[in-house]
Amino acid sequence: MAKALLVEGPIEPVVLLTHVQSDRYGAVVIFSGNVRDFSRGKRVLAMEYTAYQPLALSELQRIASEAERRCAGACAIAHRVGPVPIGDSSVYVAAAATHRADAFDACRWAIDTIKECVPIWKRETYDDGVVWVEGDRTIAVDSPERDND
Amino acid sequence: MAKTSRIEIRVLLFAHLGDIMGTDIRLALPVDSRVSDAIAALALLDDRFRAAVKPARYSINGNWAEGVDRLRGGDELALIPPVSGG
Repeated sequence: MAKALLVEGPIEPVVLLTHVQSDRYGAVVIFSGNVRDFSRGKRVLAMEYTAYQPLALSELQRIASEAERRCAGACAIAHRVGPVPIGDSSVYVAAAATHRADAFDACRWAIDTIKECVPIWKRETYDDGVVWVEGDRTIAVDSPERDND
Repeated sequence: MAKTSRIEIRVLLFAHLGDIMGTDIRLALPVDSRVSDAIAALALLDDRFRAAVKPARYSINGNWAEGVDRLRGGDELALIPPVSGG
């Protein structure tokens, strides 16, 4: 059964590994997406993820289920919300299948689809400002608090 | 009669749409309004919103929705700009 989680705080990848492992599967692939210290030519000081949680969770569940169908195996996904320190994982995808090609393909398909479809947004803090990342665009944060100054 | 001719919905706005309009607002609309009517009503409140909402997708009560979908009183309409998880 596909598993999907939204998590505040560090993700323990062993939870996903334990969920997908089985004596039936000869291959387990785990992908970790990590927060970089440099993005779009700028030094990243902080990263925060915001989600529309009900839909994000159902989308992650849908993606994990479809990944299982594609690889005839098992898939588990966990994505963090809230602040994520530089260097930490923001998302893990684990896929298990009889053979490695199917496990790699399902894992790759799942992370690519997460990045396209799931309502989660990055808010990146650089040394010269804060932006929302929306698809390929970045938009400077215009906080209501600042308008009231 | 006037009271029954309007509905109130909750609108959740994400990423920079929330910076423009607020992240969680109540909106009163005529009965039988569609998602596109809600967008039009919000666009009257702030010119920046009109352009900013163009690439957004919609959700009603946690399910993907389209502009033509009708809204009912108490619905939760989410406005979802292009995403950037992962």
